[in-house]
Amino acid sequence: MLYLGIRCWKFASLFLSLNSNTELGADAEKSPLGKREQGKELLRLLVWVAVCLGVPLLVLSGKPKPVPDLRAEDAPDVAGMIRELRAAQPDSIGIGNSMMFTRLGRKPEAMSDLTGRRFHFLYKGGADATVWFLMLKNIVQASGVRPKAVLLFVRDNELTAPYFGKDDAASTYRDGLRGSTEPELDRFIQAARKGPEVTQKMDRWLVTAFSFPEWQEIMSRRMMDVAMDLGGLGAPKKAQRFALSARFGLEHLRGDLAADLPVVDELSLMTGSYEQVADASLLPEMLKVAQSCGARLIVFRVKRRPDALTHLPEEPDAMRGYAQFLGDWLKERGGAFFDETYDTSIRLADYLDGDHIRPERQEWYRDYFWQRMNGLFP
Amino acid sequence: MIFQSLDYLVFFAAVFAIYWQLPRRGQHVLLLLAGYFFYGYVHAWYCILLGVTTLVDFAFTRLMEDRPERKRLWLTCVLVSNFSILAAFKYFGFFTENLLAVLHGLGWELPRPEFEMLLPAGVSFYTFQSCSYALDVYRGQTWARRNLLDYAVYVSFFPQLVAGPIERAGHLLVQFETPRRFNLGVIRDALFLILWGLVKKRVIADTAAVYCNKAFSLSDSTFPIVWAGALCFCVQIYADFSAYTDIARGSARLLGFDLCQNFNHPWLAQSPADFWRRWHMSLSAWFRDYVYIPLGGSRGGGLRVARNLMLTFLLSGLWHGASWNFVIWGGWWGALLVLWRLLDHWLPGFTRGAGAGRAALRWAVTMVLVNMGWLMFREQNFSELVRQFTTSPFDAPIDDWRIGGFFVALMGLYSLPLWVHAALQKPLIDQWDSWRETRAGFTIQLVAGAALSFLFFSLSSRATSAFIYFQF
Repeated sequence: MLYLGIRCWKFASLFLSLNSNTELGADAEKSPLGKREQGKELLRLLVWVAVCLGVPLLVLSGKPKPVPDLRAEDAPDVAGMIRELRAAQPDSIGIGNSMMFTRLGRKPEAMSDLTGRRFHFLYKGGADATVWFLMLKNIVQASGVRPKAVLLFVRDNELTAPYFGKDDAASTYRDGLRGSTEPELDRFIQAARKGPEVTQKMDRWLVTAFSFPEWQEIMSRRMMDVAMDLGGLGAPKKAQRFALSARFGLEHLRGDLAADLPVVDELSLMTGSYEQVADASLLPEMLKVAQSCGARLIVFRVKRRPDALTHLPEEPDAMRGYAQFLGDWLKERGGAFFDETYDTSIRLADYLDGDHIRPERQEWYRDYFWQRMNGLFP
Repeated sequence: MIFQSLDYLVFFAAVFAIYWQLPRRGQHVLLLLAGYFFYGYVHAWYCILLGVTTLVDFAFTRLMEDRPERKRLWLTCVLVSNFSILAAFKYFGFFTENLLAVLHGLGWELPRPEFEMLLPAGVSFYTFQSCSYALDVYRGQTWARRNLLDYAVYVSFFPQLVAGPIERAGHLLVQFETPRRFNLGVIRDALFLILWGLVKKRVIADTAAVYCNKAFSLSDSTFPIVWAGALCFCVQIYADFSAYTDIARGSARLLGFDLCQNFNHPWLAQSPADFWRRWHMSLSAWFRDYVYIPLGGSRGGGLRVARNLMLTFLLSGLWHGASWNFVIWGGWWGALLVLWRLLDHWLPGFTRGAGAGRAALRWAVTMVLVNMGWLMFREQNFSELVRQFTTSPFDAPIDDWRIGGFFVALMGLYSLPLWVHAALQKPLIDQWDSWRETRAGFTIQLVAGAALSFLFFSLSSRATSAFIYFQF
């Protein structure tokens, strides 16, 4: 800190001396402070910056007092999932987020009955490609089961686009799925941070140096607890949390909102070739893991919610080229790709909210899904 | 480029470091380049619009002085040019959509135009700022500038380019024409202001946004959830917009400029008119000076004043966005101001009476009205808005009351710093010039800075979003 202080002082003195040389521009007014006062003011400024940054960071660098079961609610039960998978011995495994379970249902039995094959689902709402990769590697591969097909449900280019870190709803879940080392995942996460090289490096450094996720979690949880005590009309906090999560479940959500409609990551479509984008993503690793389990990797791109006039959400021109590329890329490597985006049979009335399908239309959807996909499953 | 990003930090640090090494003309060239880089960071073609607005307004205002016999024509050219840009980029979709709906009602089916335009960020802000200059020149309140560089920097000054405050030539442009000084004392104040803005955005507004979005995402929301959602939005929009202003003002101060105040604790308002004197003050002043007063202002009979108020606020609503809910919101405020004037006539004891009880009652009524307005502002689906306004408190289950209570309590906790700020306005902030150099003043700023910094690092919301007013 002392070293940093001396460096800052030297820089500021140099800065001031440069200013006096250029007279802040020949037409600038002179500073109202004399040299002595300027020195005093500079000292105050440096003390202020040092205290404002130093004291909070010193406090936050300590370990916060843990809140019981803080992460338990959202952490995955990896061992339990592996046990269930072994017991199911499925032919086909579906991996995805709400795009999958609002289409095929949360339980795989209906798909199994419809197709005569044993289905098994692994999903997490809000999950992205990093979570799907970990599910495939640390649950499917780790379980030792040998499915014939692994089905991935994706929206637009989210399989390869670096969405990570934008609205990271599934971070606790992802952390719970991690193995002891995850070099491919870490490489992808680092590459996913956008921006010019300099800011990329700085961003990484800042995120490491100035983020205090444990404190953030504990502080926000404490705020919530106090608010529940004050506004919850005496109900136990556990009951309030349960009521909150139930009240904002999918079945209560509005159908007219675009809240769950992320736009296509245009920048990543335009950055480099599609080949480079695919190689930099987790897709090659996913394909490798699926093949090592003896499964065919099938990627299914869901249709985005159209508007009342059947227009699809705005999509960059490059998206069609990307979808074509992804299909060819997978086919060349033994995988498969199906894109239902331009299928006119799926209408606005079939959607609940965002890109989710209504529960009452799921049976029809499953049936329609299988009509189209049957041939791709080995 | 958004203020709460590393990109902005790097960009600003680079500009700041070079800026103070340059003579005034060099500073202006740098600010111009920086302004266009900042504005074109996402889409470079935005800069073309900015450039066109600047050149057109500069040229025609010069003509106003060089050929004053056609002053009116030159002003018309400026206004047509500026409002055409606004109409094309902001209102084209809205007008065609409504026109097609009317024609559909008459039995004529016309195809929807295929081309859609992306709304350039902040176009309403700099257009209004540039218009105000032309109007001031026309009225003889300021003179037409001969230096294009000064004027171009004034229009493209990046701290306030995309979300204001909407400056006037008499306040900001003159600052470009006078030398500025590097003052270390001001630097500390500016950094404090930026820190305060960051806390408001990342801690308060982004957290409020999460709960507000939740409340407005329900298809079957009940009375307590609807109104708790409106309150969350009230906290979100104030913290969000005033955060932008604070960061803009702080950034400008670091470059030696003083931007005008845009907020004066709107939550303390005791009447609709008082609210608009405290909320988005630069826009209110713009509409007052260039729309309300030219229409006749408060002169004339009650009906005439009512018409002026309604027109001004309907236009102000439309300024916010090309959507009916903003027009309704503007109409709501116009109607409230008219009604309050009537109330002032009928019940002066209530609207003007002294005493804490009456003031508290006025404040409570105003806050209810403000939140009703925010509901109209936030909800873009008209049938949903009607449903929300007609929910009955007696139909809500107890769990929904608990959720509503939880949301309200949480917003109360997160907005505590805003209340503390309001409480300190008179004794401390208004007197800051006399406090700044004292040991007590320094200690207060030190403790407050450390506390804000702690809040920023420990309570920032995980999810962040663009500033709400960017879309206008």
